[in-house]
Amino acid sequence: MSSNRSKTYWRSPLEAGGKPDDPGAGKSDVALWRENTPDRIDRRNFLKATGFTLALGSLAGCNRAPVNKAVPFLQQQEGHVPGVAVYYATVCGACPSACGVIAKNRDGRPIKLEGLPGHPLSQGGLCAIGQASLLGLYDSRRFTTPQNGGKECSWDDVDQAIAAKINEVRTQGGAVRFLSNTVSSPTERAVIQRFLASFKDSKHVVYDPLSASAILDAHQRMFGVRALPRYHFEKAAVIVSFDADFLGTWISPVQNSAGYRASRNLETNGGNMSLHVQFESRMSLTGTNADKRYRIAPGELGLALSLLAQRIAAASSAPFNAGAPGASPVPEAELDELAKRLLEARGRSLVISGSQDVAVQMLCNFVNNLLGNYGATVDLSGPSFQKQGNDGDLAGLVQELQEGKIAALFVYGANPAYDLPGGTALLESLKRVGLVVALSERPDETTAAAHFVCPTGHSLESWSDAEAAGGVVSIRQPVIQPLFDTRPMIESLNAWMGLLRAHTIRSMPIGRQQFIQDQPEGLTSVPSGIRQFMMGSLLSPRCL
Amino acid sequence: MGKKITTYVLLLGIALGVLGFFVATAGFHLPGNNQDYEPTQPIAFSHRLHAGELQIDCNYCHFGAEQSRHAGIPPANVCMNCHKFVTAPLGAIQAEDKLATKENRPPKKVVSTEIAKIYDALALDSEGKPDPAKQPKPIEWVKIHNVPDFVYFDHRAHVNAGVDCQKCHGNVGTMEVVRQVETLAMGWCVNCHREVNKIGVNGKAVQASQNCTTCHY
Repeated sequence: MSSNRSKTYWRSPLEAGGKPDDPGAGKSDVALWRENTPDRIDRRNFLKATGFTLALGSLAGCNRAPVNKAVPFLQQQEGHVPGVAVYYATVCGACPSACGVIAKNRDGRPIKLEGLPGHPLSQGGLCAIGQASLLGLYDSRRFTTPQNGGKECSWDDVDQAIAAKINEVRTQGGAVRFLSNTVSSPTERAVIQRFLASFKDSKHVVYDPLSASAILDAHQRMFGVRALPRYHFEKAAVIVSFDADFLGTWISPVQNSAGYRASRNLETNGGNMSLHVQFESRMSLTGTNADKRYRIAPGELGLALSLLAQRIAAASSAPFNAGAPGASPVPEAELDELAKRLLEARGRSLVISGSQDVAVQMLCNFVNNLLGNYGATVDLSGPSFQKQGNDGDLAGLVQELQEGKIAALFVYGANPAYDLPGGTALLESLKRVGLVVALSERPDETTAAAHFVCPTGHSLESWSDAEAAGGVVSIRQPVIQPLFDTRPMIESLNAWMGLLRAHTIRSMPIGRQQFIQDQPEGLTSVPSGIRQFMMGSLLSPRCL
Repeated sequence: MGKKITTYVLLLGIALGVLGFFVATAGFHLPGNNQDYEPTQPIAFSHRLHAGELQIDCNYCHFGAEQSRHAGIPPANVCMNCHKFVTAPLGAIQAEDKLATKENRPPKKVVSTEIAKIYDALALDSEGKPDPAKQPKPIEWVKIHNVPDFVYFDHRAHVNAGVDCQKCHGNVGTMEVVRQVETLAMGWCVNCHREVNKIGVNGKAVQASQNCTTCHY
C-alpha cells in the first residue's frame, strides 16, 4: 500500500484510490479474480477437456471426403469440350458507348468480358462498368417473368392487356411517349419509330443521366445540326478540358482513353507528346493525368473559358465581346501562354467542356472553330451517337406528365424516378397516366410505379447492333440462351403491333435472320462484308 | 494352475489385440487420402470389358484429355455410338432367338438392364426412338479421382507429354468397378515430377516443373 499518488500504474483498487472498507480492500488481485470468476476450471478438468478435444479432433479428421458427383452432358455439341473456353466477339451493353468485347464462355455460360482488340472505337479497351456488366446477367434480382400490376404473369396475358390498352389510346388519339436513355442501336431506334408512327400524337424522348445535351444544343444553335461531334484525341497536340472528365466518365471514356493514349505516346509521335491542360473544380481521373491542372471554382469555369476565348479571338482578329469578364481565376500570363500554345497547334488542338450550360458549350465551339479544329479533331461528318439525350424534350415530358396530358408512357431501360431531380413528384404524376409500361432488366423505382413490366433480359442474351459513331456499326451477338422468360424490347414492340414471328431474336442461331428483318434500310449502306464479319465472328483462343 | 490359465488368456488377448490393431490400421489412410476409393456407380459400367477385353482407346470416351484440363466423362450420345446397336450381351440375344424359334414368333429386342439406364437418361424407348413419356435425365456419376482443393491438375499437359493413363489411374482395363489406385497426394505428384526429369517418360526426355505455382495458382 503505497501512499505515492503520483504513480501512473496501480496494483489494487486501494492503490488506485479505493476506500479501505471496499470488500476487495487488502486482498491481492489474484485472490479477487478467483472470488469473482464463477465456474472456475481446475487443472484436472482442464486436462480432461484437452484430452477429449484432441481425441475427437483426430477422429473427426478420419472420415472419407464427401461424395462428389460428375454429371456429363446427355447430348454434347460437336466441338465442345468441357473445360475449354469458347470466345465470342460481341458488343458491350453497359452504356451507349458500345465498345467491342470478347466474351469468354465456359459450358455455354459467359464468365468474362474483355475488350475486343480489333474494334475501331474502343481498340481493345473495356471500362470497369463494362467488365462488371457481366455480373448483371447472373443478378438474382432480375425480372424473370413479365409482371402485371406487380404480379407475375405470362407474356400472352401481358400482350393482350397492353394491346387492348394501346388500341384504346389509338382510337382516342391520346398522347404516347416513349422514354429511354440513348439508344445506340439503329435497329432499335427504327423499331421504336415504327411503333410510335402508329399513333397520332407520339414522341420518343431521350435523356441521359450523365447528359451531354448542352453540347448537342450548342451545335444545333451554331451549325443547325443537333449532333454530338466525335472527338479525335489521337490527333490533338494540345488538349484543354474545362471540367470534362473524358478519361473517366465523359461520353465514351474507353474510346477517349485510346485516342489520348495514342497522342501521349512519345515513340509513335516522333518524340512529341500532347499537352493536356485541365481546368476543374474536383479531382478527376482526367485531372490527375493532366500536364497542368488548375483548381478553380465551378462558377469560374465559364469565366476561364471566355478569357481564353478572348485571347484566341484577339489573335485571330475575330470579333468577340466578353463584356466585363472580371478577375481571372488563373494567372493571366499562364492563360496567355496557353492561348499561344493553342494557336500554334491550329487544327491539332481540342477545347472541350463538360458543362451543362449551352452558352459555355457554344463558347467551346467558337474556340474550336477559330482554331480550325472542326473537320480535324472535332468530327461532325461522322458524329458520335453515344449521347442523344435532349434535356429540353425531357423537361417538356415532365411538364406534360404533371399536367396529366399523357395517355400512355413506355419507359425503356431508364429509371427517371431515380435519375431526375424531383423523382418523387414524377412518381406522383405517373399515377395519372392511363398506361405505364416499363421495359426494364431489373426492378427499380420506375418499374415499381409501372402498370406492366416487360423484362428485356440482359444485352448478352439477344441479337442487336450498335452505331456508336457515324459509319461504325457493330453487331451484337448473343452469347447465352436467355436464362429467364424475358423478351428484348424489339420483340415486345413487334408483338404489340401484331408482328411477332415464329422464331425470336433471342435464339442464338436462328435469331440472326429475324433480326436482319428489323434492321432499317439505311443500314444496308454499311458494306456487307463488315456485317458478315462482325456477326459471325467467333474468335478461337489462338486469335487472342 | 489357475494362475497359468489367466496368463495364457492374457497373452492370447494381447496377441489378438495387436493383430486386430494391424488389421484395422492396414486400411487406414491419413485425412484427405482417398486411396482405394471404390464407389458404386449409377450404371454398372465395366472398364474391364470396354477398355480391357474390347481394347477401346481411353481417348475415345475421355476425349477431353488431350484438349482440356478435364479428361471428362463421356456424354450419353458417345455411349449411343455403339449402344444404339449393341443392346445386350450376345448370349442373351441368342437365347431370345432360340426361344422365339421354339415358340414360332419373331424375336423381341433385348436391352440389358444397364444399357436400358442410358436409354432412360436420354428419354428413348427400347427401340432407340425418342419416347415423349420420358424426361431426359443426366447421369450422375460418382467422381473418384479428386485432387485436394487449391490444386489445379491439367490432363492436357500430362497426356500430351506421353504419360500413360495407367500411370496415375492404375490398370483400369482389369477393373470391373473403378478404384482409386494411387494416393494422389502431393508427395506422390512431386516424386514423379522429379523422377521423369531423370529418366524421361517412356524414353522421351521431359521437363516436369517442380514450381509451386505450376499446380497451386
